Amino acid sequence: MKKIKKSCYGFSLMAFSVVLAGCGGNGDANENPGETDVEAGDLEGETITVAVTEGDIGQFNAWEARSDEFTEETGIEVEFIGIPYENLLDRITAEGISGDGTFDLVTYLDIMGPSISQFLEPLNEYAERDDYDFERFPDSTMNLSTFNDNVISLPARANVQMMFYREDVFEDLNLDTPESWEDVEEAGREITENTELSAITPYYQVGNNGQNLYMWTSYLWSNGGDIFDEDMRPVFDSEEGIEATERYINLLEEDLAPDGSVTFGEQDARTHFRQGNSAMWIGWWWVYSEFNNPEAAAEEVSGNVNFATVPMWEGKGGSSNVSSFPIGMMEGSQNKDAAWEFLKWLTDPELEKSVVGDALREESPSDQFSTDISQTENLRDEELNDLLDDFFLTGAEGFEEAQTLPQFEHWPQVSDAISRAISDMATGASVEERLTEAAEEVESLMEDNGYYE
Amino acid sequence: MEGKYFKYLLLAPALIIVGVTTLLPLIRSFWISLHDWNLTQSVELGEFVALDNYVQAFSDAVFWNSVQVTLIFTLSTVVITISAGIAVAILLSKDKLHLSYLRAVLIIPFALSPALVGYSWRFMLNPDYGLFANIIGFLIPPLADVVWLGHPTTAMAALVSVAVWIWLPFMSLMFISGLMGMPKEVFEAAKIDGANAVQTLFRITIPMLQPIILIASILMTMFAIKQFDPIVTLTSGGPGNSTEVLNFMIYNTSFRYFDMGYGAALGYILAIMTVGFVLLYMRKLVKGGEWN
Repeated sequence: MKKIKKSCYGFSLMAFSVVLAGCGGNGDANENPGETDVEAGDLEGETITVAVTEGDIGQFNAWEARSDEFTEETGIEVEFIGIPYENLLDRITAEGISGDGTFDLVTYLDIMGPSISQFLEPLNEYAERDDYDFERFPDSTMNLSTFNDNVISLPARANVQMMFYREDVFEDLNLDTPESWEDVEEAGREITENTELSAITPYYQVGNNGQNLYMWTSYLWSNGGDIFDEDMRPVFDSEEGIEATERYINLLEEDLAPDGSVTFGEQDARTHFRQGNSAMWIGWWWVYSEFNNPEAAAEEVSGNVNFATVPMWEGKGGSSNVSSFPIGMMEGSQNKDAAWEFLKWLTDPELEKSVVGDALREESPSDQFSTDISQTENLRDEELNDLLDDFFLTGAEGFEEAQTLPQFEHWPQVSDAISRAISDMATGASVEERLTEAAEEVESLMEDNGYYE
Repeated sequence: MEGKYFKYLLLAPALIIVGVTTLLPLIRSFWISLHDWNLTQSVELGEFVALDNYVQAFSDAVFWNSVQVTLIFTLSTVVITISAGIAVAILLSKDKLHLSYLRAVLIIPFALSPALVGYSWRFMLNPDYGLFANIIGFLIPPLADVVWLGHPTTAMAALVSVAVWIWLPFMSLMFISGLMGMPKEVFEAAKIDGANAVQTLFRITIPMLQPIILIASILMTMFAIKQFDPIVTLTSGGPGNSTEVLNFMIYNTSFRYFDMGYGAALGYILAIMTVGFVLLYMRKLVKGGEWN
């Protein structure tokens, strides 16, 4: 009996110790970021971890496969860790709070930036030390990586919106490539009258991190409207905003868009187009290869999809959206210099050109297929453009003309308020009334959070 | 020491584990709900604001919309699931071989991941290629063009249907076990006394099932209030915010907007609602000493 008691006391003590240990603090992070003069060779033997999203993304697969070359050059080992996209923000936040340096580098969607910027290491001093030029990236994507004048990540993966259309359908009906929204509507009427297809597949569904804002903002910005004025007052319910939104919603009322698009997120809409149910789609450029892949698209779609810039508003102008999936360094990283070396290597324009060039020439494995170009020099590269019918040049125009969604702490709330309004308007609410209501909601939110004097 | 305190010592590891994993987080989250803490600004707890977060909730139109949606969703789901569960149980509670196979098959929807169920239903209700949408359109042609997830009422109906589909098997099995355990003599006596099937159902079966109905209702209410995955995957709270339950609002507030103080306060309000429901059931359904 005494033995049992002794064991029990011992177990209790152990349990208590475990609890206490669990409440303990973390180790220290590196100090003096970017201030040391480090040669890559000095870092031999260090291992850095890179968190990327799961989903068999060709560009990330190519990074991982080619990271062996980096290890050979520097002696720094690189370990890639896949995280489901749905958990990405939670994981980065959890790692940021713990500060234990599990991840040295993380990839994230730009809209997560305001939430996680406090956990990311500013890169300005590193760049200054090594003469790294941020101007290799278009301004539009660099803006998405900059907070309070600090560059917190590099937009090594960036997307611009483009219009994709069924070239075979347009040729059969003698239609020109749409350059304006009016062209879209006119071509749409021809298409719906003469084929079984919907003209275009928008995506009006609420949620999904505000996906239904992207096409709406293309209408809004091209009509000279905006979400906020310079004092951060909501102005999307202005005359231009109402006109642009009515036109966007009118795609449904004119039967140019399928009724189901009120329940479509971006992926549903893309699938709808890929299945051969519609003739036009506006979205991120990375899907181009998917549309023309016989294994990923319907027989009549594959090989028949062409691209153009996002349509303009007649007599006013055009504007598309950009989105980035940048890579940043965790503030809690214990291997910051090694991580910076890897960032420099990863964003070498030659590496990017090589990944995409090899993919287009079918010289790399299919799981490394990528058409993701993020650097200005490569967007205008003749060799790459020859390989893909000036696709990157068209993308370059988009990147230059593009505007970006605002990036500030309360943007997710604002985005959700507008997203709900778009969904409501698509399902029958009055555009003017609902837009005004959403603007009032946003103004109240901004006021409550101290954005106005 | 000998014997007197030994039992407490034996309990100590369990108490410590429960305390650290349950009580501490509960106390901590209540403490957080009394602070203005936005995780995007700092990882440190913000200013103490007493009950401001609770006051904010009661003046927030989005909150009241979520409360209304939660009540409609919960009540509809509980009433339909319990009623259908009893009906299914009556059909399947006979002691026959082929019914025992059916009872085994019945559990399949419950075994599937709720998120997967939400996605599956989303596909099946797709107006272009959805199985359900096409079947409904074939059987009832005027409904052929209805976009089920595109209108607040039909989206809520779809959401309730999914929740019922998920939980019906579990509830049915509870009622089946209750029915199969009932003494046969009571039913034989009723038959001899000339009671018909309806009288037997309402005068004997359901009263005798009352303790199980009570437990099932409490469980189902808690399950419905906690329902999250199928809502995210099926409607994402839309159209607009017509299916945004309180649980989903808490998720957005805490883990998308990182407004931890307000999120914690909303969490406590939801917990209070759940406890309120449970107390209501116990008062309404159980009188005196029947609750045992």
